[in-house]
Amino acid sequence: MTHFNAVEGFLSIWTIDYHIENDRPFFGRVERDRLFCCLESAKSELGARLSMLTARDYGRMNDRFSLLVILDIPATTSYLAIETPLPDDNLTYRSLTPLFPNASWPEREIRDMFGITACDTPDTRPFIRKGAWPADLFPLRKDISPHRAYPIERVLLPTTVVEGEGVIEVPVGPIHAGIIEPGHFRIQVIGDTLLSLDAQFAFCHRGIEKLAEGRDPLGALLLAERQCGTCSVSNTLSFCLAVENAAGISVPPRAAYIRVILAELERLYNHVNDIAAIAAGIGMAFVTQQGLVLKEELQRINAGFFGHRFLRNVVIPGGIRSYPGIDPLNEMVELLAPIVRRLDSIVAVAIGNSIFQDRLENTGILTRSNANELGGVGPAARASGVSIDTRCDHPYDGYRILPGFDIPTRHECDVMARFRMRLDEIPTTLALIEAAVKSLPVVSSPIAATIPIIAPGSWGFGATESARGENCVFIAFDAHGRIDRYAVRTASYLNWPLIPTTVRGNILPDFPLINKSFELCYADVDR
Amino acid sequence: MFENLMIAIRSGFLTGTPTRFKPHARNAHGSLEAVAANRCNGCGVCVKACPVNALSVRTTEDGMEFLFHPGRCVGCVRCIDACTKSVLRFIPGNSTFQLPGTPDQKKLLDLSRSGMTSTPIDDGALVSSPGDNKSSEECVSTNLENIKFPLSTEAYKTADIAVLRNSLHCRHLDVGSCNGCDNEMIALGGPHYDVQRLGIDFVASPRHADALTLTGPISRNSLVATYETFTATPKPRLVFAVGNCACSGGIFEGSYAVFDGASKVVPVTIRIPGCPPTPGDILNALTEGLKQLQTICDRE
Ligand code: SF4
Ligand code: SF4
Repeated sequence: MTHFNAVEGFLSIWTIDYHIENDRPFFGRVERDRLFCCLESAKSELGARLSMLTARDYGRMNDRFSLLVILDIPATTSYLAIETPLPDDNLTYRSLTPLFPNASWPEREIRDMFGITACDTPDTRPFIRKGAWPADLFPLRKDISPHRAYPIERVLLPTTVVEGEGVIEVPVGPIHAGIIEPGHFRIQVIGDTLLSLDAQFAFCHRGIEKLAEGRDPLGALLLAERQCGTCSVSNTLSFCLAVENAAGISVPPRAAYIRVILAELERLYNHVNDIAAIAAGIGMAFVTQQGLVLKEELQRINAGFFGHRFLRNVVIPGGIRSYPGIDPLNEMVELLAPIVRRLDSIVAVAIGNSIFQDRLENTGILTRSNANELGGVGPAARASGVSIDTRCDHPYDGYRILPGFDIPTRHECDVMARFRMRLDEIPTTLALIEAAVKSLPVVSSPIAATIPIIAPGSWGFGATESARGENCVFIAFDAHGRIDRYAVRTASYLNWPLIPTTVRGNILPDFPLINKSFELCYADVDR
Repeated sequence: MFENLMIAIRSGFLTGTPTRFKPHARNAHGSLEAVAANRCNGCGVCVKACPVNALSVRTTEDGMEFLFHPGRCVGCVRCIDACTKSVLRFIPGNSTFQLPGTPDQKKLLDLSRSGMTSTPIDDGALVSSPGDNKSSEECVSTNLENIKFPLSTEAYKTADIAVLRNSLHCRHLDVGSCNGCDNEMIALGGPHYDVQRLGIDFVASPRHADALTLTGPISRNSLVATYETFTATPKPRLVFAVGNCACSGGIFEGSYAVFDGASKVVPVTIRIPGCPPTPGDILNALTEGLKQLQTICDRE
């Protein structure tokens, strides 16, 4: 309660007005000129972490734009949303990057998409705009049609330059050598040693946030599902949580448990995939191939029991669409245990191999302070000793009702730690699936609540833990119950900036390995 | 070392034959079929339920015809849920690839001559694609201004395909996919599918490739990369559009940030519908599709 009072005290000092409601993020409006100081005090007093920074266009004549900051207040299980109206004649604000280094990307993105500029921001390069539209056009503004084609120009972004004798730059991508998503890297090396890395994204930008505008929740659901293949459940779940949050409903217990099962199944196949991918990073074909076998078997289980290899089409706003029944689910649990046992024996081979140890240990160190400062999330942050997990910190759905579970952390901070982190999490995942299946109510109760007509102007926020970390969604509705703003911030978006901090001093061939130990998606960053 | 061998031996022989993977390897959706056409009363709720206009209705002289566009269907099963008469069902593993010249729609239900009176469907359900006002040619400037998109179609000759001699080297090109399709392509390299035994390989450079496997609708941000990869691929270059996004733009069709499918930019040889197509579907298209392509070329 004291933390609660602290937040309330904080809000009463800094905001023009504020709302505190049960089961919703705290909300306050702050004047633009006080925003920086307000956040500074939130950081120092409440220990806030920047979860999401985005903007809104209300599409009206006056007070059209506002800035939206969503903070995670670790001491409470709630988030804090701060909205800052911007004056129409001066769409600028003081850059938040000095306060929260991970604000740099969203600031660049807000500049591209809304034309709202952060003053004194250290990096002014475009982030999403890679030539798909002209510089003076801002796609997320309301007067821009989502369905127009704009002239394409070739944009070559300046990169961080490192100069000196023997320093060379290795450009990589956006088309990579393997079956990988597109990203462009400029890697500066001296000899074989990495000096710095500049990563550029948005080659997968599909305009999802804009396309969702004007749709009803069911229409936009398809977009949320298809934002990223391997985070499909998590993104959909965040989306649905946000819609349910806005509508003020909660899902029936059966749906809440099934959602846990889905989320954990997704985590399981992702973790197995990551383990295989890390082994692929050092060319250890045996482990890679065996990992792919297990991943395939897990995906077949997904398809067999839930109808889709990526578990799409199950989660819907209000609950779930269908599920196979309790007996099949028990059967599924029995299938999972042997797969995990096989995984253990494969991993034992990997870990016992001296080359494997040599390549993974002390490679790509993500220091705890970097992980904290840059707001890292997910297994990557947990492998650096940061205990952060949305399932515990902000429990949702079945995680609220299921008995407590451990969130392991590690302290070695290297690739090996991230490799082992995934292994450490798998027992928790299995236990959660088992517990969720056991707790499923037998009585036939509804599996989805109906979404009532959503009140004009309401908004909601949802956050879930994907296999990569915290995925957040903010949704605001217009007067007709249609989506007015759909903003997504995924774990990959938060964790990508961590990678450049880990590569310096490593050798160039270790870069793919380090990259794979984070195993982030590009589609999630680019949207 | 022995441990490796033991694990390898214990995992047994996993690889399936390209055309016959067990049903549980597939998504519940495959090809939409009217399993109980006689129950259909032509109410058209399925058409209205479809979020991507993959179902449409054509009124003929004496009845109506339901058409299904596999290249657009994202398998959301909403049409099936909407149908009160349980007419529709997905037949898993029935989805097929589309060769050049195949119509991108198939007749799902023919209610003509059935004497069935049909409720007219309001036109609102049959919206044309929102991307209509996009023309890919007007929108390219700087550096690419002299290039006309889509790039011209190259006619394939038997010799071109025969030259591959069952050895197809593909360059993967992710141009805006959600990585669902990419993951399924990675799965192809695993022991369950093992493309390499069939002479198919994914190579690191377009210069080594016979074919591009394209996933995603081609985002406008990656036009330059697409163009350069395509032109770097030696002829005869085939293009496989993997997934609905690449076939038609899929769920992203009409967005300001994408082209509506690969065919708006490069000539597409074979389309592989599905969201995502399962590894089995992709494998089938890479092997069978190529054979059928050769037959078509032989005929011409
Ligand atoms: S399953 Fe396919 S045809 Fe049916 S509603 Fe969904 S997209 Fe349309
Ligand atoms: S077709 Fe579906 S799975 Fe494939 S890239 Fe597009 S949205 Fe993703």
